[in-house]
Amino acid sequence: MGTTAREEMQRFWERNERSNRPLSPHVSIYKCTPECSLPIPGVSLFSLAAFLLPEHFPHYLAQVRDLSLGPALIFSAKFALVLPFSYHTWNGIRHLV
Amino acid sequence: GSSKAASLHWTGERAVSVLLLGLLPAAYLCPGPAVDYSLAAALTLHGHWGLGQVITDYVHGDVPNKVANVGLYVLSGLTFAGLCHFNYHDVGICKAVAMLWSL
Repeated sequence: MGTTAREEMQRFWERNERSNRPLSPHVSIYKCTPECSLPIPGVSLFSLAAFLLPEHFPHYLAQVRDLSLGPALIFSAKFALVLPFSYHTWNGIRHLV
Repeated sequence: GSSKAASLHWTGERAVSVLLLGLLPAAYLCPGPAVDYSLAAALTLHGHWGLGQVITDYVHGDVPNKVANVGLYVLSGLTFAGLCHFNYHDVGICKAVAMLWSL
């Protein structure tokens, strides 16, 4: 009858492992635009801060307002905050359709 | 079987993503506890599943994978608890974003 499928598989694997073939690159060539990672630590950090910080949100917001940062700085801060979320959301929509 | 589980998981991920997307205009138009708690749940689940995929892609080996997943459960649990705590004891997610943006 010849060899069984199992025997052939076994022979294949023995030979394959013996030849010590290198693994083709998969992690190193991965396109490093994980549109995933950016907002995630943000949400968890916010939530942990909500747990740990003693005062309530309006208090801290008032503190930031009291710093009297210039409108340009405030705008840039808002932009920096929104950017990863928007990037993530747009790419997410792209993946969904 | 397990093959069905994987495709159900995939569908679940898309469903939560769509739900989260829908919650954004809801948060803007009718802020309130219903949206706040839905956001807390959807955000946590979305993040938990998303990070789970990252772990699957990058953490190889049986033990490191399991350890990473346990850590993920802890992180997601804490995140959800923190968000609910914020919704209950503090102004809530919708209001907080509105206040932050009025700065």
